[in-house]
Amino acid sequence: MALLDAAYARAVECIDPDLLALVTDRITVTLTDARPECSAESDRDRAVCSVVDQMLIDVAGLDDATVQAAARYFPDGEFADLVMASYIIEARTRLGIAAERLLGGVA
Amino acid sequence: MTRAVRVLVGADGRPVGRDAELVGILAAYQDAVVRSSHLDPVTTELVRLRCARQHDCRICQSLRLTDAREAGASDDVLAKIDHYEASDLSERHKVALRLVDTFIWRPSEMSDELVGQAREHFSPEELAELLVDITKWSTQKIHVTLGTDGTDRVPLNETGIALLTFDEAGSARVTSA
Repeated sequence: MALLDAAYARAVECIDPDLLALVTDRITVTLTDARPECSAESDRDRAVCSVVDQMLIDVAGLDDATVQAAARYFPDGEFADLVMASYIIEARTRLGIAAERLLGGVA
Repeated sequence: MTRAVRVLVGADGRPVGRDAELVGILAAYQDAVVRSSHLDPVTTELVRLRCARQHDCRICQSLRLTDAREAGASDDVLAKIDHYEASDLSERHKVALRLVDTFIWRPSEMSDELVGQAREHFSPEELAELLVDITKWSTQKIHVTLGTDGTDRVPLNETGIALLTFDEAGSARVTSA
């Protein structure tokens, strides 16, 4: 778990903070029914949210066009970093929820 | 669903330009998870393959854990994963697969009944390992999203299967079945 936290800390360092906040908010809202605190306002953000949403709900249903619509905004590998960050935030969130139910806290 | 490689990849088939430190930490996390040894190998394999099928990860579906095979995770056993509730898998294995499904779809809706079943069939240490195992086997979502989960570099046999082994450090090795 400490390494997952370390991965998150690195994601915070290398991903645009506004974008990371958007992705975090999207994941938290979807998995916990919390109220959204930020919203997608640009075409880039909307494209990213489409990918994050589908990753969360059913990654197998993610199509090439949806991914490429977001990836085109991120040259030089940044899109892959963003996808890794989305996974890390999602994993920490799901793990926190499930561990609380099953173990009363962090796994 | 057909899936193209969706980002620029290098000669090794991996996305170019990623943050090396982030990749390294995530790899270290995965290595640490597979070094855990509270769960039996058959349960681990059932959990891994359920994740692979839910996420439709092509590489992961083509792999079989060597130690799980040796412990009884035969093709016949693994064929029961898709319809596990109606199968003759043990209740312990069914509970593990229910936990996978709940974790992947809506962990906040985990029922009291499932929590009770989980605590009946697994120790706290096993449950902790099972949960982090699901996160490890869900790193597949990264590869599926990027379209880098193809099997073109995997030494598949005539039935489309290869063997997956982890060394003591947790590093993966894929060999022909």
